[in-house]
Amino acid sequence: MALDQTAKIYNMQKSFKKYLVDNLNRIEGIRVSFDKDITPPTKQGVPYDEWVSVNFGETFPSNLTRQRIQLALCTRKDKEADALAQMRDIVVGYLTDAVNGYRRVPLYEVSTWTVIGAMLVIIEDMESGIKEATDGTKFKLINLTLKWGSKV
Amino acid sequence: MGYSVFPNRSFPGQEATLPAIGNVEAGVQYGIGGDEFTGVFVVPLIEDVEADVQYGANGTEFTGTLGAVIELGDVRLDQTAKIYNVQKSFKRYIIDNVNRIENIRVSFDKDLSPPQKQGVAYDSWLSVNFGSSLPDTVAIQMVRLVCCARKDTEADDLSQMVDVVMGYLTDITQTNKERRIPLYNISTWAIVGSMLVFIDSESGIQESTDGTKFKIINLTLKWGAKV
Repeated sequence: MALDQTAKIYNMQKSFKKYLVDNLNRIEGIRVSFDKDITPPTKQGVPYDEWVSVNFGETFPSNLTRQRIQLALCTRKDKEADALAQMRDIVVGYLTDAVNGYRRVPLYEVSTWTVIGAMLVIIEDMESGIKEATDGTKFKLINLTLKWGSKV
Repeated sequence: MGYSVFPNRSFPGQEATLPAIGNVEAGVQYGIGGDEFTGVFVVPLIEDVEADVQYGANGTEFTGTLGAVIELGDVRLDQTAKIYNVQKSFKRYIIDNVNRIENIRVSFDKDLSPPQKQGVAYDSWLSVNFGSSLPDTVAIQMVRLVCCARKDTEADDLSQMVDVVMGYLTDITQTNKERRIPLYNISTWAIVGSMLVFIDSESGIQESTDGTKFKIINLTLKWGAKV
């Protein structure tokens, strides 16, 4: 039996990726990586100095499905982490909505890119402090939960 | 009334030609008495028609939205919600007071790395490290201050420095003794609020492997933010 479109994790992941690529990457010019945690994306072998790494965590399927996501905001060559703070403000702007309360990310059926729902973005935990990896990369972790109505 | 085909009807002696029910929007009644026929034409929903394609009456009644760019509204954080403003405002406060007035060197990066002047390390300095934050209507930013001193037998210099720093983090003139630090919109340096300083803990005197003595002050900044 095929899952309902609103219950498919593939739809959720692709929808959230589309949201970040359309906005953070295309509009704000921030590189977005959907794989390894703090590995900097490269262009012709040269690593970028600023990027966001997106990691999908646990899923709790239910009528109100929850998906944990961890964003790692990373900068290199960033003394005093000013660039990191600026990037954080841009990213959180796309994860919150001062007018409507929670930000709503469209949930698509990705085979047709038809909107079938919306996912609420909830930043539940404290954002991490500024951390530093062994190669000097500064990073900050934001843990969030997507919640959306699904037919399961 | 059932139809298998929907021919247009003409009335003898009249110029008017009634449209076939298949050409009239579903639910619309027309004809003799205004209710002789009921239209059955189903207008597609705007979300089923490609974005920006117009259709319906005169070709402009409806506009499709399928695949349209979804408006996100304002994605810029309010000035009171920007961590960049918080960090810069706190740095300014520390530099304007602890550094310029009290002449204590200040570092905003690694914990115990002594700031240097022409390769010579200073003997006392304050290291400021920004920790976790929580965006909320009462936003929170954790800050760790590390007061450091070298060549400081019995830690007298360290104690004096801690007293100076603590003086700038508390305010005995306020009823609640909490210091208020201006929060700026740093693009214009206009004040947009103020941050309350709460002292969470103060460590004992500790010593690192290179003989640097240090004391850690953990504090929390709290301010009203629009999120």
